[in-house]
Amino acid sequence: MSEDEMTAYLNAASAVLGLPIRAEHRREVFAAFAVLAEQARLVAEFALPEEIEAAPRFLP
Amino acid sequence: MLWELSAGELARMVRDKEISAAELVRAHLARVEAFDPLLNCFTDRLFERARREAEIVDARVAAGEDVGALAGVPIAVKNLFDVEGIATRAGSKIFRDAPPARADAPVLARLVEAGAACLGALNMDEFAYGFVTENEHDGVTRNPHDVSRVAGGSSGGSAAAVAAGLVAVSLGSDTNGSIRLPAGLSGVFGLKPTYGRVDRAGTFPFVDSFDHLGPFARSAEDLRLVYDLIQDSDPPGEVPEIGRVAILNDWFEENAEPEILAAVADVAKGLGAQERVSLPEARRARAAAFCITAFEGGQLHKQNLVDRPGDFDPATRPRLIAGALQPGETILRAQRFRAWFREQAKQVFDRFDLLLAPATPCTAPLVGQTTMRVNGKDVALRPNLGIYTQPISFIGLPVVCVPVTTGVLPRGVQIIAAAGQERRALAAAAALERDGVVRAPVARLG
Repeated sequence: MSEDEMTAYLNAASAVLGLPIRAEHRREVFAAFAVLAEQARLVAEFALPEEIEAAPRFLP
Repeated sequence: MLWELSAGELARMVRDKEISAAELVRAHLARVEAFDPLLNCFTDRLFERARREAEIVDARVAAGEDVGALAGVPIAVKNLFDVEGIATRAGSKIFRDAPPARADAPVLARLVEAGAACLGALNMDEFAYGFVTENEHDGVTRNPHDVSRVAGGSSGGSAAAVAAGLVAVSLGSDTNGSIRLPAGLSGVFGLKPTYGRVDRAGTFPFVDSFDHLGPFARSAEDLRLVYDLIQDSDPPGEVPEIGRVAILNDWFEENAEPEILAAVADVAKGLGAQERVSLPEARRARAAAFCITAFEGGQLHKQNLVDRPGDFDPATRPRLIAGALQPGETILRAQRFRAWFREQAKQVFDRFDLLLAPATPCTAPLVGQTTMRVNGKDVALRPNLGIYTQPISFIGLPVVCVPVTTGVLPRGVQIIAAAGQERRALAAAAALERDGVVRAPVARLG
């Protein structure tokens, strides 16, 4: 994700989700999101088997 | 000295009338008054309550009643547990003016029912989102073994209060390492039970997917004693064999300082562990836990992030806001990865009964330290202190963190068991303590 893409995403997500980012917090929030995006990439690039579900299993 | 004795021994002395609960509490209150101004473990001192609870115990002893396993034992809890009469702040400014809790959290009530005297509530990172207990609102909790250093977090007050002998036992919470990490850095024993084992009612949450409650103590036996009191689904029985023990390699060895790996080697030798085994893709497990944590935490606090973002700790706020704004796809993938990773761990536990890993990559950082040196590079300290604990709580495994205190600063080693096998990890910790490999002496202060 480029810096421009991240800025566009965060601006849109902030508006859609109703969570404004105040001007004085922008730099720190963007830095935190960049760290998260790198961690998310590590998860996304791993090819999970299709049958793996997020739902918890309720065993008898 | 009284404050050096274990909870079990103190309770025995009270039951046998060798000392009164009132004397015991008085000695510990004096120690809090002497050393807490330096350490800053307590956010709320409840001395009158503690004296009252001690009087009740003494009256029951005089009447010949069974006063319980923690008779007169001084305890305290992280300030995210409900404590009757005070606001449950979870380290925040935002909940400073919340209505006082009407009752103790059930786990605290159980300890009091067993005779404990609650001295107060303890410092933590704001909303449990941190590993250092450098709290913007309540100050830093200092490490009793070196007060220029942090105690670790987020249950830093809980670990330091036990390490300093201010209390014999404390309770904390662990979402990504918040019991194991401060226990390791402060040189005490900590237990993170299996996910779901201990009732979280009456405690302020952080990440429902990963939150656990558990005790800190200065002996493995005291951990077991408290564990028996705070849960019902694993009744006391025969002590299990320690079984086959392996050292986790790959992710759990990379980036650790040599002295940390030496501590793991000491524990491995003590348990006869020779084999090494990989927990596959632990790096991605940590990454997935990282994303889910920020997301669930951010969603939990969303309304306050909208209404009063300026009242959050600056260390917490950006991570919560950024976390809440993550795409849903990230979180679903992370939760799916969790299911996959749990299966990998199960396969490892087909071959081994206990796994060993460091609690932290380094010893306690200095107060205010922002980076740490890893493989010749400076990396951000706060997000990287929990790299070895996060993959384990991600899948809810029980862990006893044991203190190796032979060096200049304490080093923690995680003894990780299969889900539901707390007693095996506790047995291993007790064996190591008996053999002198691990121990939690009260820090020398003053």
